[in-house]
Amino acid sequence: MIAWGHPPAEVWRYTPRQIRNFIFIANKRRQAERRLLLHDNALAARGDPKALAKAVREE
Amino acid sequence: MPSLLDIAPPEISAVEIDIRGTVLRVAGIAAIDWAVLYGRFPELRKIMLGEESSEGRDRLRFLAAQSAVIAAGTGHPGDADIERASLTVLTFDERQQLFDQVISLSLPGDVLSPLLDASLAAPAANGAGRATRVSATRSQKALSS
Repeated sequence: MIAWGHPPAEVWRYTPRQIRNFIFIANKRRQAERRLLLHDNALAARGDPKALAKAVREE
Repeated sequence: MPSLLDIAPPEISAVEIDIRGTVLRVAGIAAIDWAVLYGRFPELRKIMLGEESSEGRDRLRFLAAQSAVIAAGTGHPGDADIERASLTVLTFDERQQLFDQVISLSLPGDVLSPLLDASLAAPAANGAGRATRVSATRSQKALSS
């Protein structure tokens, strides 16, 4: 939680239920970011400038 | 997926419970207060996890722990007067009702908390849901023994 930017004093004031669900949401977000990163890397590795430019535009 | 109430501050997700005409506002207990409770009542953690058998357990001590949880859940963590009142004024069913409500608002699922369990499986769909009932059932079992 603290590594994800929540102030330590605030984390102690969360209920375990909040902590658990914040971690769940943070993990979901991290998974989505990894998927995007893998996708971009795969595109770059293929070396197709058109596909790469299209992906950049989409963002 | 967690709902907004699952990450809302305890004062927002709090509920009101009517006990013989007196409305008590019950909220989830913060991690720091749980840490204090576990410090005072180490056996509480085991009972709630279902790891401690009911045999040979000090019933009065568990009732004291339950009262401390209720006091904390009603906004008076560590208040000896409230804990005493919870023990002496409330009936068994009322105590159980309040205790279950505090647990369901505080804890996420069928594991006690991320403070104790590092596994990060999906929480119960509605936050408290199934897991809360597990805890409550275990607590009830422990209490009724």
